[in-house]
Amino acid sequence: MLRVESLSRSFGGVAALEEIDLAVADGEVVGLIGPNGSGKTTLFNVITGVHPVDSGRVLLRGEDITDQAPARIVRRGIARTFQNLRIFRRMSVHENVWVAQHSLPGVGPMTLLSGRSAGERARRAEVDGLLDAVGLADRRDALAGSLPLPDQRRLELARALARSPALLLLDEPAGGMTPAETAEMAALIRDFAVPGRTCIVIEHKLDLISALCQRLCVLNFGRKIADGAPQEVLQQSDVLEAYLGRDAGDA
Amino acid sequence: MGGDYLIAVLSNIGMISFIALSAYLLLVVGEISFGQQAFFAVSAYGSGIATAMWGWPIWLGLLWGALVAGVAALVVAIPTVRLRGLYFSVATLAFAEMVRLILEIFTYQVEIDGELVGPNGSDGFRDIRAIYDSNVSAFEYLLIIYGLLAVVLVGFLILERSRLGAIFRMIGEDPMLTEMQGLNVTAHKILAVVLAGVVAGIGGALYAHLTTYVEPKIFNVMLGVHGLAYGLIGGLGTAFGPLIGVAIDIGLLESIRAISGYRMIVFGGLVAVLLIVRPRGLLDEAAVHWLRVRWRELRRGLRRGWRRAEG
Repeated sequence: MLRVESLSRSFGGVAALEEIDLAVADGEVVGLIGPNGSGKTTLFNVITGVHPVDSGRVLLRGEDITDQAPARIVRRGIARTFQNLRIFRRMSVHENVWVAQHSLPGVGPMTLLSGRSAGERARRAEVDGLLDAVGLADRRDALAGSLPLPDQRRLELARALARSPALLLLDEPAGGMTPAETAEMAALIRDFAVPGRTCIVIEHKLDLISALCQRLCVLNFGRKIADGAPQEVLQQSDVLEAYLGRDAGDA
Repeated sequence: MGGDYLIAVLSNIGMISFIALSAYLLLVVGEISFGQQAFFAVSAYGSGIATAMWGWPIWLGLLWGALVAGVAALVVAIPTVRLRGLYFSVATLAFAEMVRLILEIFTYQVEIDGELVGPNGSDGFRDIRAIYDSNVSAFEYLLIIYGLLAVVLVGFLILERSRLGAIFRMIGEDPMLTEMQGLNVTAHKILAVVLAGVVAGIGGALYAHLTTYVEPKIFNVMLGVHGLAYGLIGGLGTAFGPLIGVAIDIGLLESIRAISGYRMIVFGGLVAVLLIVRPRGLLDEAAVHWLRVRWRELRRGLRRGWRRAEG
C-alpha cells in the first residue's frame, strides 16, 4: 500500500528524517513510536505533501506521489488526524464531518450549490451514521470548538473516515486522554476504523499500540532504529534507551 | 425635500452595501483586503464609458462594469492569493492605489454633440447621464439598487448553505486542514477574489450612474476601510452582518445630526471596541449558529403543535 524509500527531510540543518525506509502492506496496522521530536509527525507531513522532501520517494500503491500537492495526495485515498487537533472550531460537529466529503468523487462543482438533492441527502445521512458510530450523535449541532478534548479527537476520526480512505494516518488519537478514554478510543479504532483499511498510528500509549498493531516501527532522532513485532521491538536495548535514557538501556 | 434626502441616504446605503459584501466575502476566506474600492472604481469608470461614450443601454453598462471588475479581480488574484495575512493586505492596498493613480492620468474622451465626454484624468468623468436620459426617477433607481442588492444577497444566502460556501469558511479557518480534505485552496481563493470583485463592481457601476460624476479621489483607501469595517462591526457569520454594519454607520451615525461632526470618531471607536469585545462582529459564527439551531427547534415545535391541533 505505502512504500517510503530512503526519505530525508531537514529543517534548517536539523535532520528531522534521515534515510527512512518503510513499507506498509495492504490491511496492515503499523504503530509508529519514538520520543518527542523523533520525526513521527514529520513523516506524516511528508507523506501527505505538507512538507516537501529533501531526497527519497513516497509511493502509494506503487505510484510515486512524492512532492505532489497535498490535496491531490489526499484524493488518492489518504486521510489523517492531527496530534495538535485540527478541527473547524467555528462550524458545527455535523458540518466538520460533512466538509470532508467535498472533494469525494461525485461531489462536483454542480453539487457544490445544490443542497437538497437526493445524493446530498444520502451523504448527510452518511455523516450522521459516522457521528453515531463514534458516539457524537447527540452533539451533532454543537459548535465543534465547544467539545471537550476526547470528543474533538472522535470528531477528527469521524472526519477522516468520511473520506473512506484506503490509508489512515492517526497522529496520537488518544493524546491527552485518561486511561478509560484511551481504552474506549482503542476499541473504537480497532472495531470501526481499522477493518478494511491500512493504518499507521503514532502513539505513546503502549496499551493502545498493543491493542491495535501487529507491527511497530521506532524512530529516534529522525532515524528508524527498530521495525518488527511489538514484543521483540520493545525488548531491544536501543529502543528502551531512546525512550527511557541510557541507564535503562544498559540495565 | 425630506423624501429626497431619505432616497439619497437609502441609495447610499444600498451602494455601499456592495462594497461591504465584497470585503466580507474576503474576510470569510480569512483575508483582509484594503483594496476593494479599486474594483468599485474600475467598474464605475468601465460602466460609465460603456453608457456615456459607447451609447450602451444602462443594464448592459451595469453588466459590463461588473464584468470588468471581475476580470480586474482575476488579474489581482493570480499573483496575490498565495500571500497570507498582512502580505495580502498590503498587496491589495498597493493595487488599489495603483488603480487610483492610473485614473488620475487616464484620459479618454470623445466628442458627443459638440461636447467632450469621457474620463479626463484628475478632473474626473462627467456627464454619465444614462439614467436621466432614459427618465429613470430617483425612486425608480433606488428600486434598481435594492433589486440588485437583493439578488446578490440571495446569492450569498445560497452560498452560505452550499458546499462552496463551506469551503470558503474552511479556508478562512485553516487552509492547511482544508487542503487535507482534498480541496485546492488556491483555486477556491481565486474564485472568492473574483466574486468579491464582481460584487464591488455592481456597486461601482450603480454609483457612477447615480452621481453622474466620478473622480479618482473618491476611490481612496477610506472607502475600502469602511467596507472592511462594516463586516467587522456587523459580524462575519452571515451576509446580513456587513449590511447591519452599513446600516449602523450610514443609517444611524450619519443621520443623527447631533454627532455629525464626530461621526468618524464615533465610528472608529465603535470598530475598536467591537474588535476587542466581539472580534468577529455582532453576528459572528457562534451567534448565527445559535440562531439557526433555535430557529430549527422553533419550527420543529410549531410543526408538532400543528399536528396535535389537527389530530
